[in-house]
Amino acid sequence: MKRRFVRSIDSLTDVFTFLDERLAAQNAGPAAAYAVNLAVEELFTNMVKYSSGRRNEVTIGVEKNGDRLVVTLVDEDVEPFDMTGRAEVDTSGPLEERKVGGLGIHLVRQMVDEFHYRYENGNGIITITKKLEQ
Amino acid sequence: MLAILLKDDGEVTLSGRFDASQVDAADAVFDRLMTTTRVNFRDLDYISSAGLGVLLKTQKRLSGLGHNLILTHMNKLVRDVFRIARFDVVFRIEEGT
Repeated sequence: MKRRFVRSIDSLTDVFTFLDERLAAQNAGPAAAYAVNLAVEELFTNMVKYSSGRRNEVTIGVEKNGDRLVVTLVDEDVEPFDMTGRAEVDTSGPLEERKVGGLGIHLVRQMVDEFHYRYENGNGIITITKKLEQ
Repeated sequence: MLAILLKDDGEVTLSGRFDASQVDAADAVFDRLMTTTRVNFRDLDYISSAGLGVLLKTQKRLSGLGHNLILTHMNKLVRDVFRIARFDVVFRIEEGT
C-alpha cells in the first residue's frame, strides 16, 4: 500500500494518519509502531529541508514481508543525497556541546533494523525495515 | 497534535504528539520559561528529534541562567528515545508514572 504526499511539513498529519492505518492493519506492536512513525517523520522532514526546488511529492509505502515491516520513501525528482551516510552525531558531550543536527538520523539508525538508500531515475529511495514483534 | 499547558504552579504538561509540526507552538511556551521548571510527560505519547530540539534549546538557555528543566512521568517508549539520544545525561529525568 502506497500513498503520495506533498513534500511539506504540512503533510505530516496526513503521513501519520496513513502510517497509523497501515501499522494497525499489520498488527504492529507499540514499539514497532513508534519506531516506524519516528523514522518516517525524521526522513520525511529531512527531505523537506534538504531537497530544494519544486514542491513535488514523496511516495510512502508500507508492506509486510514475513516478520518485518518494510517502509519505503521515494523522494521524486531530487539530487542524490544519501542520509544513511551522514556522520554519526556525538551524543557523549556535555549539555553545551550537544546539537540537534544529525540527531534524527541517529535515532533512525538505532530504532530500525535496516536503513538503506539508493538513487534511481532521479528519485532518492530510502528503505527501512522493522521487526513486527518488537 | 500536541497540547501544552503552563499551569499556575509553573509546571508544564505535555499531551499528545510532539513532532516537527508542533515546534513553533512549543517554542511559544518554552521560550517564556525563566526559571527551573517541571515538565510533566504523563500524557505525551510521542516525541521525535524536533521535540528534543525544543527541549535542548530551552535547557541550554535556562542553564545559562542557573536553572534547568526537570522532566517527569515519561512513558517507556518516550524514555527510550531520550536514552538513545543520550539526552538522559543532559536532563534531570524523574522516574515513575
